Amino acid sequence: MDRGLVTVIGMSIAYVASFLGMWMAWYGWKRRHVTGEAEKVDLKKVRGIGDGEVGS
Amino acid sequence: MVGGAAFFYRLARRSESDFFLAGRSLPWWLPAASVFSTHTATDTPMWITGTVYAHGLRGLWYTFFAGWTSVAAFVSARIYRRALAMTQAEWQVVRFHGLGAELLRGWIAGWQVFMNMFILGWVGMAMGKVGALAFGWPVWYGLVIPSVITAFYTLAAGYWGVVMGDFLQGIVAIFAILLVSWVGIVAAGGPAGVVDGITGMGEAWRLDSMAFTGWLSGDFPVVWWATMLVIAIVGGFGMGTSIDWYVEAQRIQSAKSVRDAAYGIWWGGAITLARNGIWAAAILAFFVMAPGITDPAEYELGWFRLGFELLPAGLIGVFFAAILAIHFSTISSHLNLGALYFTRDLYQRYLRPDASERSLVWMGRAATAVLLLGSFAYGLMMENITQWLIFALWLMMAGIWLPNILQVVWWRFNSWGYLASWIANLGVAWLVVWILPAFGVIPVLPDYLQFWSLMALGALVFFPATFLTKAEPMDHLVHFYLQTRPIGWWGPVKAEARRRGLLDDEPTAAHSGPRPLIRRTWTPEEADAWSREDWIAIVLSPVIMGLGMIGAANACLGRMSGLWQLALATGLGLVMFWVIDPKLKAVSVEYELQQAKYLERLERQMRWSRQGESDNGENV
Repeated sequence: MDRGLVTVIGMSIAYVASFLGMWMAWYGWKRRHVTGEAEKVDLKKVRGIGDGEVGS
Repeated sequence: MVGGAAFFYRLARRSESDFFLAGRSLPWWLPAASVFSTHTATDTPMWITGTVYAHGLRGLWYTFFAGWTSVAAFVSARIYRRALAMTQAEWQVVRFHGLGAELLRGWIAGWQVFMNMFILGWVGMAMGKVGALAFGWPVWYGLVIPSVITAFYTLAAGYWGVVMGDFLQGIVAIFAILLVSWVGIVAAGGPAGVVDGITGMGEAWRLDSMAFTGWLSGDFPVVWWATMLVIAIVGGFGMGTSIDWYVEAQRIQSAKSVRDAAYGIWWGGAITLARNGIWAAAILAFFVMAPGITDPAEYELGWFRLGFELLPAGLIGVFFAAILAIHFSTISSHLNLGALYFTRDLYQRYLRPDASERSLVWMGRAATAVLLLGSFAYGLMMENITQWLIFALWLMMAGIWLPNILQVVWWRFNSWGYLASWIANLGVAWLVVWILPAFGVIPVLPDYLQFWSLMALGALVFFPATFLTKAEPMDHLVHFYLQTRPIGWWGPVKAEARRRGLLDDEPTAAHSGPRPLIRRTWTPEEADAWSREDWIAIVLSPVIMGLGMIGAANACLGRMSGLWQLALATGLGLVMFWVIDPKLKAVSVEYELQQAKYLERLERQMRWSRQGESDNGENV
């Protein structure tokens, strides 16, 4: 098959994955901003913030 | 590796940061070894063999895209390390703001999860081909069995296992590369025999790394060489070569300081390019022994043939063990990296922001397993795809090459412009690469014209998109500027930071009196600003890497020019480190005092914490 065609098809498949990721981002954003469902995550509980370096 | 997996299991399970970044605690030589090992995959000798067999030493310039590390080490790695983003997708919400930033984060996470699976598939297939060449195994043996073994320690020990494995595997790989290359050169009559053999065939141009076919014509014109240098070197100012950059992003963040991140990337890139030079000499030896092969699928296996056909029986086992080590290091990196993008940027950010550390580590393991299974399916689908196709794919991302740089160096570039560039690139690539040539509207463009056309057409979309939408909020930009101190055009943001009293007009000086030509004593405030010392490193660094790569090839061919090139590269390297090291030390010490505060803010944003949102600028 033509190398150019194979490459653009391969790239397009990767773009499908990107669109899926963007859709998930839109879903997450909407949950917290459009519908007003703001999370109240207690960071001390889930990660121990204040007890040491966060995220490390 | 099994013992290592058990040992590092305890460290990896402590937190998401341990599982994916080894707790941001690594000295520079471990990320450096990991950069080298990850970029030494089973398909890499095929790719280098293919270019050098077809083009001679000038083919090495195709492999110089790793030269982006020469500039990135002192520019974008430094900026990115300060941003603290675990991934290139997370970087989007540090650099940009609001919905556009979130869409970009999801976009890039989706892209990278797929790309990791894709890379795992094609590297796995390369291993399948090597197994078939060496032992006559069915291809799927090589695709599946080594990857499953790798998955065991990657699942257990996470990035700790990856990076420690990479270090050991890197040593084994260097040993095998030197051994097989030496055996190949000796079999072709020694260095002089290789040079004489090629000259005797009337193919002396193959020994010249600058053997151009003209300014614009032929298969290696000056303009193509210059284009490749621009892509690599200028790309280092930002995240220009995004297909490589995202792998190194993890190595940069796993380093324990800004200085360690810079040196990790620099040495990883430098060793990779020197390795290419050594390989090139061996492949010219293979050319002397087996000239005239026209099928790329056949000559791409040349370096493996040197090993399997010339080594004595006892050493063939060692050689195969080294190939496995090369393979393990690449597979483990991409398994862990793909899982990182899924876990951190999709699962945690958008589905379960309140997930505990323990459940995130388990999700990381589950994502690793799913990626592995996906890669098997993908690998079996693309049995005949060579790395030339990957190179073509890399080239076709030209439409986002400039935006990848602009996001680092230009304050006004915004999330909508960047997102527009990604989407436009797909349409433009279809148009330029296939639709217009297929219908005879334009000829099939040479690579350099394809690159510049895609870049220019993409710019026609992303510049208007940027100017027709608002700049990112100044609060967000000021915070980003103070945290990362980016290079480039940040004047209005810098002025606003000064107006708010967050940045001194005249930083405290370490010396009284006139500025020395090369400053070696820095206050933290002085070190944060870009200065001539940075520019000396930025200019010298690609020259050193280029000389190292070409010099290694020439030296292995016994040519005096190679020794001079290596000596010059060493001398310039000493000067470069003498100039830049005091500054990097000063930047690192100051930044580490701020890091805990920045990490906490990032984590609150990550969890959609309300406090994190209110922190988004008003109180910078």
